Amino acid sequence: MNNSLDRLIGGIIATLRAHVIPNITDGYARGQAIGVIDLLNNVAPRLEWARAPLAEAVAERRSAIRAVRALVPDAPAGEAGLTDQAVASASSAELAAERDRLDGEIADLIAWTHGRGANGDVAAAIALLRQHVHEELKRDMKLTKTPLFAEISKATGSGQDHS
Amino acid sequence: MPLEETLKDQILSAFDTFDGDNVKRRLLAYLRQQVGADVEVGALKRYTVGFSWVTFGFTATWNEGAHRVARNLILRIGPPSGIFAPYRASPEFRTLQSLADSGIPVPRAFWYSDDSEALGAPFFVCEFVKGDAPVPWTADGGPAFGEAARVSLGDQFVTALAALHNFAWRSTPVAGISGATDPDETASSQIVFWERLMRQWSTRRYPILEWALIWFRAHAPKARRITVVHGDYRIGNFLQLDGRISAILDWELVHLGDPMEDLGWICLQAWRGRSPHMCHLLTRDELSQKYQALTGAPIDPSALHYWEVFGTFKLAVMHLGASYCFETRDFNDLRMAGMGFQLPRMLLQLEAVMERAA
Repeated sequence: MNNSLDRLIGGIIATLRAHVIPNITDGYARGQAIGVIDLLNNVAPRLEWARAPLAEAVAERRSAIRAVRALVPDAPAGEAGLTDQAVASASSAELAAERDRLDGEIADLIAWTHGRGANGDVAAAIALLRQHVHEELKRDMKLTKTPLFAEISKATGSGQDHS
Repeated sequence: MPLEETLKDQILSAFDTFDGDNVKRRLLAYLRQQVGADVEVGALKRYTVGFSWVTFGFTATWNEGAHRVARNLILRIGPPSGIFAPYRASPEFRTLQSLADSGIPVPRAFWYSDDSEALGAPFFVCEFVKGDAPVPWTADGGPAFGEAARVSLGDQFVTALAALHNFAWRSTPVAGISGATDPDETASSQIVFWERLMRQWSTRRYPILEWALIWFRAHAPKARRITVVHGDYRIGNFLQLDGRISAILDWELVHLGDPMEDLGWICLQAWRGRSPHMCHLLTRDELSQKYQALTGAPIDPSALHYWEVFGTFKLAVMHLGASYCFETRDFNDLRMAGMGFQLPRMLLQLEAVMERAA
């Protein structure tokens, strides 16, 4: 789960203000850190999550749901979502909401198929759902960078003093 | 008032995790009351370890009769903005007190409070134990220990766990902590606990997490015995000094339940990366063999695997919690937001470990 862009930028600025800048002793470095805040303040109102990966995520989920429903047409229908036309012109926030709605529908299909016994078309539907889940996780993973936890742990070992 | 608003009010009015001066002032008043003497408290040192409780180290000195007492102590505070807020200090305190003479290396616990009156949040005070906490993340993804240290620490690691699981808890204060004492309910109680948190922390439904919940219900093992379960027993949660494990830490998830839960948690890929050694310490076979030899309790491999899958699910849910906490509780530790971005990695690990069972 990603945090909202507003909160991420707000948290970065708050951390710089409260915990980083007061502890920078070099004047030039302190000025540059304040410059980061200045940039973030100006970048923030111009940002939104990249639209292309969200549009792709929505398309992949819709495609998987269509294929599963073709195999198990008696599965309960999901809530109505965006029309094709609405998806084409949707904002990033609207696409993210649609992706989340479709994930809920897929979760419901997983629960429904598992309550039916894995035979014939139901087994094929389960296999399709499994394949879809795997491919979506791989797709998300391509956007995920190796964490810097080792570096963070090494840097934060000493603590802070409060006299 | 909704819980979230109540917590926010508490955060703003009662406790600022970074306001060390305020913490020190209130701590001083509390200690004077507990000791019944004029206590001096040295500089508070905030440790930036952990993602949940806030940890400070300090020295307290006071007179007891003709003697001057000086103690190096640790203050652990459960902030209203923390992942598992609202916190209770009593389970950890009771456990540490009960285990004090058990041979399991734990810090000696002195005082605690479950309410916010004294310090603005629940807290406990325990002994400062020397040592460093090895972490699972290594710069190059390589081993966390040299071979000799790995073998020695691995032995101590599993020995302490075996002692914990063989601890006769029923006649101690630990008997009052939460958990399941019915062998048929140990898995279901954990499923309910973590599913509730998952839904609290994320309105987005992740298909792989929902899939895992179906799998957990279908495959829940019966516990062969009920023990104290640490709940977060792994590399990162023990101190070592000169090759000796000096303390097992972070008991905030302690509960009664199936000991296989701790063993499964140790086996998570997240604690070893590409290392063949669980928690960078023991191979899976070494862990099982040593544990069985020490406890006399046989390990059911399918139960061990179940709890490894469950642990991976639990860790993924914790990532949701970190992200939620950062988003809604003004908790500005950027590592929390960073955990949110690592969720796909956790979900892939969950899928992989669940697949192994299929």
